[in-house]
Amino acid sequence: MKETYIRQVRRALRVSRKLRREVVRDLNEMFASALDNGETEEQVIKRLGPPKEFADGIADQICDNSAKTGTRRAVIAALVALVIAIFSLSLYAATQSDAVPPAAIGQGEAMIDIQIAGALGFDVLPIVLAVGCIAALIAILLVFRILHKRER
Amino acid sequence: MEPSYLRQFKKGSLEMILLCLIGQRERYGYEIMTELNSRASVLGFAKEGTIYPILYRMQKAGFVRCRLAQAAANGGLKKYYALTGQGRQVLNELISFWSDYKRCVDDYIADYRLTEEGK
Repeated sequence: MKETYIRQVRRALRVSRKLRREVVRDLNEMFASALDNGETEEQVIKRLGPPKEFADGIADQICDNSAKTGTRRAVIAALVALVIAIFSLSLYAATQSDAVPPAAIGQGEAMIDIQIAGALGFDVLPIVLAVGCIAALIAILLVFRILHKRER
Repeated sequence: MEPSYLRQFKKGSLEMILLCLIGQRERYGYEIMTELNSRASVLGFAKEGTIYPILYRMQKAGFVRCRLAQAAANGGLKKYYALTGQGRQVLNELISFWSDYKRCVDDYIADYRLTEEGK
């Protein structure tokens, strides 16, 4: 009974994760103190009122938007990661395709001996691929986190 | 359910009463509630649902701090609330505001009573 009440409050609480943990701890203390003083769980629950009301009472006082801001930040981060992933991976894919302009060096019938050195002195392609993959992974993880948060 | 004008009025003074109680000495939630029940039952504050939200807000504002400790009476861990320096400053400010406020409202009430008697 007590557990169900606390769980319902926890679910209804729209505050930061830290405060939610604190409220759950405090609710356990409220019940323990009341029971020590000869009250029953039913009496405490009656005094506390409906779980949603109790949870809203806290959120109203705190005006804690950190949970909301956190989600907004995660959405923005996911979008940025997605854009970086798409850009890097399509850049990599473009370099891998065989479609080469007809006048390009190296497509001649005979062998030619021209070496083109990159301005950076090393191959950028593996880095572009790695950045793309990491960005894609971050985007996926963030989307999972946002969805998981919304479920609760 | 009591009228909303009364509810709002009471809520405003709860913060000050809580600061006074915690300012005397460290106290835990249930203790605050029983204290209010015995001395300020007329205000109808003595509910966890009214006290804790204010305590969370005051804690966030830095007026009170808390620590977990074993209660003297029984073994359970309790969260003890105490005033911070800032909290004490705010309480003193509220107390001086309250005396001005009380004087001002009392004056209006006295005027009202005089005209009522003159009718």
